[in-house]
Amino acid sequence: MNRDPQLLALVSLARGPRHGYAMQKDIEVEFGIHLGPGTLYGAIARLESRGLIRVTSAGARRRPYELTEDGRRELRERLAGLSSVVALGLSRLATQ
Amino acid sequence: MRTWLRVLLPTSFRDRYGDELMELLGESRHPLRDSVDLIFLAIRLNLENAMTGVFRWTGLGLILVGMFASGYATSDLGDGLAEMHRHWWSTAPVVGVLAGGLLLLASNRLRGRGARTTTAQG
Repeated sequence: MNRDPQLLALVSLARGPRHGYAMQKDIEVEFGIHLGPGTLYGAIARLESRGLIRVTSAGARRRPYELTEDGRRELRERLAGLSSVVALGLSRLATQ
Repeated sequence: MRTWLRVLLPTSFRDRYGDELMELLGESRHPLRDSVDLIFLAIRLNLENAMTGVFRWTGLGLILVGMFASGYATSDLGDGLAEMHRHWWSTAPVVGVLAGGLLLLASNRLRGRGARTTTAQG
């Protein structure tokens, strides 16, 4: 299981804008991984500084984040890379 | 406890994400584990901030000079480090090493609100 907080955050936001609490809960439910607030917001800060996510509503008490176009592209590329690794690994195991 | 945890974070990061972080921590079902997680984030961010700017080069320079001087000075001592307190000239490199380390660690606080962090504003 890939536990990269940035990747998990991007996947969570792929479903639509969410604030940090909702992202944390989504990741817990979907992946069974608990990201602490420090880990989660460390990832959010890095993603935001790279322009992969942005705040959708600055005035809200719980600020929701959303993927930018660069974020969507980055997520597609990373998932494609993981998919090829998975496919290759499974095919090699099948031949054993 | 949440107040002092918040204070550990660099100023710009705290201003940007502090409220959300504290809210998440307040609703945590694992407060001790999540508090430790937050402490590790604070340590990482403060170290990243300390490793930028003039303070980095000054601190690193002091540490290098101090380590070189310590090795040169203590090599002349019969009992090595145990004799240091009897040799006033050998305390200078030790102070240099300590000063460099403290300068690195304190640089984030010294630079205050201008500290760079891994945020969209940085």
